[in-house]
Amino acid sequence: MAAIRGNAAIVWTDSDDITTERVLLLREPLRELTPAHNQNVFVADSLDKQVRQTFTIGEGVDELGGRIRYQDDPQGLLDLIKAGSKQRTVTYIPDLDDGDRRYACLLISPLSPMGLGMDSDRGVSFGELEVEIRLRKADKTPFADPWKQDRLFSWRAGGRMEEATFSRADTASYVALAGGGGFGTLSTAASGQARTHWMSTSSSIGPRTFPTLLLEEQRTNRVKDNRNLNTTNWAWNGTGTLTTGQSDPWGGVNATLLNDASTTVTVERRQTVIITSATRACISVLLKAHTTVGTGSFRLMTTNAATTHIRGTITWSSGRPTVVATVGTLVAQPERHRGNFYRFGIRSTGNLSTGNRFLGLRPASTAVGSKGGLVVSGVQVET
Amino acid sequence: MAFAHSSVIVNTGATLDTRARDQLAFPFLSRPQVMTAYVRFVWLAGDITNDLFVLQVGNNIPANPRFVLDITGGNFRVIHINATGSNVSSTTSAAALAYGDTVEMRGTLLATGSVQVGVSRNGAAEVAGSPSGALLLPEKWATVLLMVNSSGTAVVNFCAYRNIEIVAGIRTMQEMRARAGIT
Repeated sequence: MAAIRGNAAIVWTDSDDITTERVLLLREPLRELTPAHNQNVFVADSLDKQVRQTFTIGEGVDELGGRIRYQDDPQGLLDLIKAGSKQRTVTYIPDLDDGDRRYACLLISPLSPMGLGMDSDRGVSFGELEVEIRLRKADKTPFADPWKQDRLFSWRAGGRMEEATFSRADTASYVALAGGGGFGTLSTAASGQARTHWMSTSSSIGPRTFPTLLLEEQRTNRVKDNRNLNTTNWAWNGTGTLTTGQSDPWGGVNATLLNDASTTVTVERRQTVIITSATRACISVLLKAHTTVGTGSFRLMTTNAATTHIRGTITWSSGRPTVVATVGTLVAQPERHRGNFYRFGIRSTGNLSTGNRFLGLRPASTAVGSKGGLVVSGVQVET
Repeated sequence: MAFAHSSVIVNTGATLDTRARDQLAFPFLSRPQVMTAYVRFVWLAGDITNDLFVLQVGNNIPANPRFVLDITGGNFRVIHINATGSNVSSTTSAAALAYGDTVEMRGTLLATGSVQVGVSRNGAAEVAGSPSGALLLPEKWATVLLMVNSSGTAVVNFCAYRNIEIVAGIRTMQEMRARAGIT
């Protein structure tokens, strides 16, 4: 006969007994586990079944069904059921080698009166006992992986986080899957809300195919009015035209069309940004091709134009950009978002000293010919 | 020194705006034991010479004992630190780690307290560091927490997490992938 391993137990305290703790040693962890949820839900369907209303009470509770097998302690098993009938807290420990991993529960079934049955694998006349039990966690927390004795922690993106402690002091952006053909809609998470952020693999421009949990260090965007480029924080160098109210990758209209139709000069939309500490910097921007495009560019430079820290050029093919870092390092290839917007970043290769810099966006980089426009949003300089 | 990279957009109005850091900790009740920790994430940061935490078993602040998977000094590292601060670690190079890379990081803790790191990038073969020396396993971790991406307000990383699995015993990368439902 094969040896039966144990190393699991159900424990409880019963004031009707004189011992500090009762222990039912299990010869196997609970088997044939069936996780369940139990909640009062009242449903009303319309006659055509197209409208459904539900009324729920509370959040309900998680339950776990399982089978005690090969039990050679019939009185202990009966005492467990008697304790459960008296609504004592019974605690299931799936691995006695890891005793703090335990689940304090109520026994939901069976309750007295009941009779124990024989374990069919161990004899039908004489032998060990078997009973199916159902446990309930009344504290609204789940049974976290009780079915694998050796699984200590398991989580995947999009999974439950109710028991976790999470903090972030303000709102934050993330990319949702819905809308935009799966290429990603920029959205805003509330303060204290973790972000399920959809991505595609680095070798794919999209659509986005997998969820992630986005966790980041704090960052300050040193660009003011980063979606509305028609404010006094921005100015033209040269004479270009702009049109606000363009569709954006948030599903709104907070993008700005920059257009360069000059046949004599190259125009640039500029803002003075302030570098407050000696550090590297990175420009990132959301861009979409206008109906007529040229070779655009963006840059970060000293206010006397003597030194350029970052410069990238953008060429377009069928609405898709190719970005080349002529000064600095390309952080990532363009990442597609909703509405045919692409985001990319270029960082400086060395530390910048503190002080003012010009951030410049050029719809077209040549003074004559190859003129065109860019739709711009989400301009960012971070340090 | 902060290291600039392309974090998610921080929208601004007429004045500058700052997005605060994310901090996350799960409860982790298991005692120190022979185990394998596995994390799969998309790398979003830049400066691998800084100390950036991926996963910390046993604490939410830098107090000991704890078991940490991090990226520091240009290396992936697994480190086991005892109550007095003595530690053993195993490293493998993080050179040429690029934004958007999918990283699978595996750290093992033996009964001797020895640790070993293994890393696969973008599904390639695992590259393992050398096993560390021994260090007596503590009776318990400093706290019953599993900190993700930071150690309190310090060493905060930039990552997009896909899977975290911790399993008793020593498991291969392939076994941990299976546990995570990847293969």
